[in-house]
Amino acid sequence: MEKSNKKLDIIFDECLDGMLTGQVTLEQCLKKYPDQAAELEPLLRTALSVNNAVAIQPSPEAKSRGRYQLQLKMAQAGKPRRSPIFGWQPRWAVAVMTVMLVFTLGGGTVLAADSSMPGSPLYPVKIATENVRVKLARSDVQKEAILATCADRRVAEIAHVVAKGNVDTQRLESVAARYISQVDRMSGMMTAGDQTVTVTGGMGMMTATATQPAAAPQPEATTPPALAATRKPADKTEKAQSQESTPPQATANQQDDEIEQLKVRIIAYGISHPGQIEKLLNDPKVPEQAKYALRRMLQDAREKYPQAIKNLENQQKSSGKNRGGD
Amino acid sequence: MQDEHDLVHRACRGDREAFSQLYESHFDRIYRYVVIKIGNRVEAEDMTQQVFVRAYESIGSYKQQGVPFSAWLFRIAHNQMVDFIRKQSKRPTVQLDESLPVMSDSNPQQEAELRLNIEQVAVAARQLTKAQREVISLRFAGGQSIAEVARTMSKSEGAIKALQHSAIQALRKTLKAGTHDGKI
Repeated sequence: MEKSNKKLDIIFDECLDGMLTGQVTLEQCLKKYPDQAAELEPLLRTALSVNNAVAIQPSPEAKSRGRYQLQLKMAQAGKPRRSPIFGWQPRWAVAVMTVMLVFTLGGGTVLAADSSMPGSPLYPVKIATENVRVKLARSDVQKEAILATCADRRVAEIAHVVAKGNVDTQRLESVAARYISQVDRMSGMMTAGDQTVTVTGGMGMMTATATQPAAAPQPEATTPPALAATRKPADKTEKAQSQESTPPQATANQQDDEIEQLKVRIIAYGISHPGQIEKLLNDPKVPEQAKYALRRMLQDAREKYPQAIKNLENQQKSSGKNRGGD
Repeated sequence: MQDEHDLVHRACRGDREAFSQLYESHFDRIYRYVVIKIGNRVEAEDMTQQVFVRAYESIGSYKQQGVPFSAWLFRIAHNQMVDFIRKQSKRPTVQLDESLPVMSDSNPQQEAELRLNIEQVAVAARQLTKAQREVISLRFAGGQSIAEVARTMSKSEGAIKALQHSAIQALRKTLKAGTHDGKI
């Protein structure tokens, strides 16, 4: 028993704190402060009722949805901005970054990273390299082709992660968010009215790739065609590099070819990706919590690929009309 | 705490994995803090998600030397709710089920078994002053200690203890009044 001159709010907090941390019981507190017990008891009971009432948990679905939204934001926004000085990067700065990346890590590392999978130490290099390639694309067609290749890689990566078992939900959500971001960007390219399909050789992303659909989810077997083209410049790339001396009609035909090749590839992905994602959704190795992200991927694949195809067809019609009018 | 300090440091440098871990460790507390403020679990889920998206967008501006990371998150949540409440101000006040249990002095045994829900607490908390409501939200829903609440609200610990005491007194009064009104 303790006679106390402490203010009631201090005694109240002392008791409450002890009760919340399980160090004392209500009865022990009241016994300790008998003079204040009559006043303390109803207040402590109210506080405990409030504490019990607020001890709720968000639904696992809500937490999973939030995690997914965050991953999507991360994929779209890149690294958080630290300072306005680094907020804007001109094209030449991207080129310098690429050269530095290759010099710092070595070309071998960048190439090795190309086949790395989520969770691997080289995986961030793979993603960084992809981002640089997208930034350096010289035309919308080229950019769309790179994004399509990247999206195909994401599907293969998730299949790989699931096949290995013991799926890390966060990691899967992160890859799924990146897939959606890339497919969204891809389907937003070449929208109606875009007349500036200035195809150049650039990094050769568009070469020799058109008829390869996304294969079954076997990442080892999926050598992303566009990026393979980067390593081994094909004949068409060389032709594109010398296009300045090509007659205008030939350049226009080449543009049409490249759009057609891209369209064939997008059609193939539009068929294969939903199938692969559905298969993953039915895979018992995929945790329930991760399925929300896969369902979003599936929805995106079903909606965005037809949109991308439509855009490419509009582009083809538009360039046909222009040429007809010449 | 050292672990969290390290996570925050890495997150500030753009480490997404670190930020994801912070999300996992703070989501529930922020959610409860939002629910008690707005009294709607579904909207609170959406708002909590947005708090973390906004935190990610502005993590670069967070200074570790200033307020603790959790206090910074609660501040973002608070600002988001101010906007929300402003937009919802025309909405009629939620009335609770008349049959819900209320406080009673006459039967301590029954009171000991009292079960409130968070929506009831949220409605009752609307009768508190802003400072009292903030203390209740941070202390009970946010799970902060008196010292943490004091830092978050930039007040002394003594002031927070006094606010906590007066807030519980006021809450009790409001909950008791429910016996006469048939609602909280």
